[in-house]
Formats: sequence, structure tokens, C-alpha cells
Amino acid sequence: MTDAAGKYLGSFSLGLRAALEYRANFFFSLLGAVAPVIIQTALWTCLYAPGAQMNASGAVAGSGDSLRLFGFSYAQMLGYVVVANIVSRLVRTGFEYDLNDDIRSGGLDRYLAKPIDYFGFRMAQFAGSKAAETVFMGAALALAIVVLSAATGFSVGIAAILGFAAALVLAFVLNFLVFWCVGLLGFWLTEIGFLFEAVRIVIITASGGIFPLSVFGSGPEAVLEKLPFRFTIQFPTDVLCGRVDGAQLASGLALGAAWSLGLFALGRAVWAVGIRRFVAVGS
Amino acid sequence: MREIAKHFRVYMALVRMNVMSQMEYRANFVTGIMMEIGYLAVKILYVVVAFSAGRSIAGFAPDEMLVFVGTFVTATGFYAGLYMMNFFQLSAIVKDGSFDTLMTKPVSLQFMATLRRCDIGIFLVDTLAGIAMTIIGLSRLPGLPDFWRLLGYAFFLLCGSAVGYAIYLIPQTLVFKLVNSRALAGIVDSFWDFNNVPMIVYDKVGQTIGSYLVPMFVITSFPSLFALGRMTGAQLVWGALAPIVFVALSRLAWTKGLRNYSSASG
Amino acid sequence: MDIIEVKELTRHFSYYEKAEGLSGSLRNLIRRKKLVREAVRGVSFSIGEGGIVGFLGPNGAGKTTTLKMLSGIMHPTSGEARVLGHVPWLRKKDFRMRISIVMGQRSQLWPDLPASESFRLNKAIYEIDTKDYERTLGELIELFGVKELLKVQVRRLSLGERMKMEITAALLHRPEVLFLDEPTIGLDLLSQRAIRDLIRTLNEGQGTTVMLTSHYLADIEELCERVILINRGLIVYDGALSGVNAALAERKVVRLVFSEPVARAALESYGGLRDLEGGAGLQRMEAIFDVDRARVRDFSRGVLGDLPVADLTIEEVPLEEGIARLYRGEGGHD
Repeated sequence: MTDAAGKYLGSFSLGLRAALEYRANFFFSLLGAVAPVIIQTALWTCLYAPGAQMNASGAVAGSGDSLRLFGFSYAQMLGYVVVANIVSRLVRTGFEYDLNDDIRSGGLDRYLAKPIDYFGFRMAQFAGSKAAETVFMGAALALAIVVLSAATGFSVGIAAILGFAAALVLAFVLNFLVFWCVGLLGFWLTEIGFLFEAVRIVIITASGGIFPLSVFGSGPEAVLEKLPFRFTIQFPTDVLCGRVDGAQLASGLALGAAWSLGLFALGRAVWAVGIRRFVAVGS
Repeated sequence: MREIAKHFRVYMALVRMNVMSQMEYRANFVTGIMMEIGYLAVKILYVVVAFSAGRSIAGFAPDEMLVFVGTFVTATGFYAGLYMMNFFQLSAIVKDGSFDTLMTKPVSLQFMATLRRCDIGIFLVDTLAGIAMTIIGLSRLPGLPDFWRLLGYAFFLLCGSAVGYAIYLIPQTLVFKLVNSRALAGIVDSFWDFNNVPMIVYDKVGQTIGSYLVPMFVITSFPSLFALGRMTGAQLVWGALAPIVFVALSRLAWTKGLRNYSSASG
Repeated sequence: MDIIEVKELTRHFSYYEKAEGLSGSLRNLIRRKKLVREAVRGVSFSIGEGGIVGFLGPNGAGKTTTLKMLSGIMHPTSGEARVLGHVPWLRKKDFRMRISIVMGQRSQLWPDLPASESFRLNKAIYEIDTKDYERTLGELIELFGVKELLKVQVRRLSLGERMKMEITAALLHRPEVLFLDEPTIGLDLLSQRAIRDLIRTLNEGQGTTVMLTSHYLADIEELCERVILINRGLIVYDGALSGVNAALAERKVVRLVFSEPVARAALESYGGLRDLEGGAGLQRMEAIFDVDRARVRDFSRGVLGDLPVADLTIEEVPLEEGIARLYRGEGGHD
């Protein structure tokens, strides 16, 4: 083998090995979605069972085959469970820990003069890994949809898929920005690991990652719908499941984009204050 | 008997050290509790959904589901507060050599390796919340349980936690052979949530597997069924037998894994 | 009966050949080659009560593996051993109550708490009576002079202080046998000395049998009358320290750095020249000599007077080399 060929093969295999190891971790995280899907499916199956009504409830409409709970038919609810659980894992972040490490260790020094650069660096990294993950997840999602359509007659049209793609990009951007802002707390708080987890679990819930937001009741739901979180999980899920029409898609994307700008501005402002503190106080 | 008393004394010393250690990092302690409350909120959400819909679940009322989930939360206090973190750290202490040092001490190695660390914050948050939920659920149902029923509930709850300890330990004994147990631990941990819903939610096959083969449901559904007076005879017997069977099995898996370790390790 | 009896103790490790590159990884998927590393090969020795024996050898010689087998952590592949009459790897409770092991660079103390807390834990683990505990703890603290450090968190202690606490923790139950694996590694001179002093006091006062491994000759020199030299799993020498000392320390290595180039012939006239390098361009010339210990002074005086020496260092012969020489000296096997 020539020197050049050897070098290329070396970098290629290195990259391949890295990608393989990375895929293994990702695969395990996907496996973690199996349990919730099974649990939630079993629960909803019981709740939608005929003759189960005990008390009057505002969440219930219709009966028998046309029974709707929290605005979802049985088939729709199952669709939501599967898609939302997968999307929730797909949009997940993790860089806030790396950001915190950089702040703690002082490694942030390198980027001090150029705030956009560190932000850009993290965003690019996030985009890169998400691009890879989407391919893999896309396959898993497609498989799940096939199973769903066989079991419940779930169907997804081209329009829904295209809309989903747009909503997914928005979800990535928003989730990144949200957790970027959360990560900035590291400038002020030292022991932060558990706080990230606590915040993450609340955000996932507010995003519709456990149950659709309608289970919270109409009052809270109205508030939650205006917040940015819903666009990270519930919105793309609803789009793919065909529960969002063209007008709603457009307004949703617009609202989401507005939130992105707002969070971006907030992030910049907080970064400026935080970085000043970092320089003055050290890590 | 003397050995049990001694291990109890050692355990008290360990709990004291754990609490003192945690107090060193006050912010972590507080945020850790916040995190646990976050997880708790999600668990409670499952009950809220049932109440909101006003529908029964496989013949059980939402108030009864509250008892199930309350028991689940209490059991989570034992799981996450007392033993789970030791299982996750097992491969780390094997790698850094502290496991070897523990082997030379005149205490049960399994005891030290699986119970050394505890998180009192998590333990208290979950057991208190869980007990409160269970009491609320039971009080809303017709006919308050008498002393014997509550005693039996406590008995099956403890049996259930012993089973939980055992069935979570068995896959960890593979850590003596496997290099990366973190991924395994992550998946196995997600199975804990199968108990977030009463076992009757699953189909017959699932219930059988989960009761007798990999007895997840013995941990929280069985005590709940007892408190609600809806336990079958077979479940009653198995609820008391399962801990003996599975703790014995886990002990076997442990000694075998240990034997492999000290014969094979480099 | 001797406290420690070892007969033909052997330990093999089997492992799979690590593949090189991508094609190797693929080949490994189909079939892996199993290799065997013989860490300890038929080692035999006995140690009587109250003995302090040093186990000396280069890295990878089998010292730690032997220690692990004698403390019960590891099973041998074959062979027998008895410590205090017990077979170590059966890990009987009586055995574990009467021995102690300290491994350098590994801590059994809880880092976020003061050492006194970890001591209390050991008190419970070793079932030490309160009066005995306080007496022993008092003696050890006095010997180490660490009274003020008892309340300090372990992670805030220096390496030397931490090691003193480790050893204190290991001695609270007055073990009859103490295993020490590289106890002074990474420590400053003062701490090293303090630890050696303590071990000697312990051994003299209580008759504790001590087995100590190290790859520093100094550790062994200070403490042990008897040393077992191990290399590549085999015992090379078992006997008085003086024998080893002579073999290893009779020659020294003298390293010279010159400010100007010097002719090779001139250097060779001193005898014992082993290596010569540099001298071209800006690189300074360096020479390495093997010199008999008795001659070192005269040699140094000579070169300093006659040659443009910028720097002179006198070093020990590296342990591995010394051991190799011991092989040859004994007409030994290899």
C-alpha cells in the first residue's frame, strides 16, 4: 500500500471507528425509548377501553370508536406516543455539560475575545452530530411508522413529511438555544450537574415529551402553547402525525422562529455578562 | 446473628459518612433533590392523566392507581436512594482498585460493594412522597385498611425491595466480565419505570413474565394489590417466596462472578 | 510454622492479541489468538514471624501479583500458599481480620471527609474495642505527628500526609501481617522516611510481619534485612540485603556534560566509557562512564581537573541492569 493510500485509509478507519462507537452510544439511547413506549401504550390502551368511564370529564369526547381523550383518538394517541418518544431522543442536547467543563477548567480562555466563535463552534458541532443522528433515527422512525400503520392504520403523507423536516430543523435550533441559555448558568453556579438534569426533565415535560400538552388541562395548555418548549417535541410530532394543517404549520414555524431570535438575543446578552465575570473572577 | 448486628453497625457508620459527604456539597444536595422532585412530578403525571380522564384502568379506579404509583415512588426511594448507584459504580471501583481493597476487609464484600453509598436526600424525598400518596389514595377509597393490612403492605413492600435489589444485581455481576457496563446500566434502569403503572395495565403474557420470570411487578404492584385487598392467593404466596428465591439467585450470580474476577483479572 | 509460606506459586494471565489496524480488527472478528502472560512462575519462599521482607523488582516483575495472591485478592493458577495458617484466596474471616494491605496510589479513605471518619469506619469493620482503638490511634498519630491533620478533609492533604493516614487506617486493628505495595511511590523524602520509621517501630514493637514491594532500592535498604529479588515472574535472589547491595551498588554511573568537544581517545583513557554523544554544532558533548564505587571520588577529581566539564552527575545503576548483572553473577537462569 502506498504511503498516501495508507494515510487516507488510516483517517477513514479512524473516522469509521469513531462513528461506530458513537453509533453504539446512540443506539443504546434509542433503546431507552423502548420502555416508555411500551408503558405508555399499555396505559392508553386501558384508558381507551370501552366502558371505562367512571366520572364526568372535560377531557373526554365521544364514545366507542369515536372516543377522544385530550383531543386524541386511540390511533392518534398511539401515534403520538411512538413519534414523540423518538423525536424527544433525537433533539436531545448534551453540550451544556461540555460548556460547563470549559468554564470550570478555564478552557474557555481560548475563545474569550470572540463570543460568536465559541457559540458557532458549539452550534456547528451540534449540527454535525444531529445530521448523523437524523439519518439513523430517520430509519428507526420509518420502521416505527410501518409498524404503526399496520397496527392502527396510521398514515403519513408527503406534505406531512416535508412539514416535519422543517419543524425538526426548528426543533434542533430551539433546543440548542434553550440549553445554550441553561448552560450559561455555569458562569454563576459551580455545582451544576443535577440542576441541568432537573431543568431538562421539566423542559421535556413542558415540550410534550411524556404526554401531549392537552393532558394539563386547557388553562395550563394555553400558556404552554405560547412557550418555546412545545416546538422541540410536540410540534414536529403533531406535524408528522397530520394534526397540523398548512396555516397552523406556518404560524407555528413563525412563532418558533420568533422564539429563536429572542433566545439568541438573550443568550448573547447573558454571555456578555458571564464572560466578563469569567475574566474577572476566573473559573 | 452477631455478624448481622455487626453489619448493621457498619451500615450505620456508612450512612453517617454518606450524609456528611453530601453535606460538603450543599448546592449539589439541593439540586439533587430538585432533580428527584422533577422525576417525581413525571411519575405523578401518570396518575394525573388517569384522574383527568375520569376513567378506570382495567377495572381499577384512579384512586387505586394513586396507591400503585405511591408504592412505586416509595420503592424508588429504596432503589435510587440506597442501592442503585452502587451498581452503576461497580465497574468504576473494579477499575480503580478499590474493589480489591474491599476484598481484604472482614465484612461481606457484596454488602460493601452494593450498599456502600447512599443518597439520603433522594431516599427521603421519594419515601415520604410515596407514603403520602399511598395514604391519600387509601383514604379516598371506601373502607380504611386496618393495622394488619398495613403491616402486610409493609411486609410485601420490603419483600419487593429485596427482589428489586436482587434482579438489578444479577445483570451487574456481568460487570466482572464486561468492560462497558454503563450502557447496560442505562437500559436496565429504564426498565424500572415499567412499574410506573399498575401491572394490570399490561396484557396477560406481560403480567406473567413480569411476575414470575423477571419479577418486576413483585416490587410495587404486589404490595399495592395487598393494600387494596385485591391480591390473589398465588400472588400472596409468590410475594413472600420470590425474595428468597431471587436473593439466593443473586448471591449465586455474585459469587460466581467474583470467582471469575479473581481467577481471570489482569 | 512460618507466618507466610509460599510453594511453587504460579499465575498466568490469558489475553487476546490486540489487532493492528482495520484489517486486523476484521480478522479478530473471526478468530482471535489467545496469548498467555506468565506473571508469576513457581515462586517459593517462607517468612517467619516478625520478619520484614522486601520484594524488589522492576515494573511488571510479578511483585504486585504475588502480593494480591497472598492477600486473597487473586487466585493462583497453581501452587500453594499459607498466611497465618490460612489459604489466602479462601478469604476466611479470621484471615481478613488479622492482615492488612496498603497499596500505594490507591486510597481507601473517603476524600470529602476527615481521615478520622474513615478511621471510625474501620473501627466498626474490624470490630475494634473502643479502648484499644483509642490507644492504638493515639500511638499512631503520635508516631506520625499528624494530630492537627485529623480533622482536615482527606482531599486537602498532601500526598505524603494522605499516605500517613492510609497507613494509620490500615494499622488500627493491629494486624499480624502487613502487606505494602509500593507505599512510598510519588512521595517526598521526608514522608518516605517517616513511613519507613513507622514500619520499623511497628515491627520492633509489635512483631508485625511485613512484606513490602518496591522498585526503589532505598525503601528496601532502610527497612529490610532480607530481600527477595523478582524478575519476570521468577525469584532471582533470596537472602541478606548485603548481598544485593554489593551487586547493585558497587558500581555507579557518572554522566559528564562538556563545555567544549573532547577527543574520544582522551575519554577512553579513564576507562569505563560507555557512551558518547553530541559535540556537533551547538549540541554539547555528553559522556557516560561506568565507575567502581570505590573509585568514584578519584575519577571525579581527575576529570574535573583535566577536562572542560560543565556538569557532572553520579547516578545509581538502573535496577534492571543491576538485576541482569546479578543473573550473570550467580550464573543464573534466564
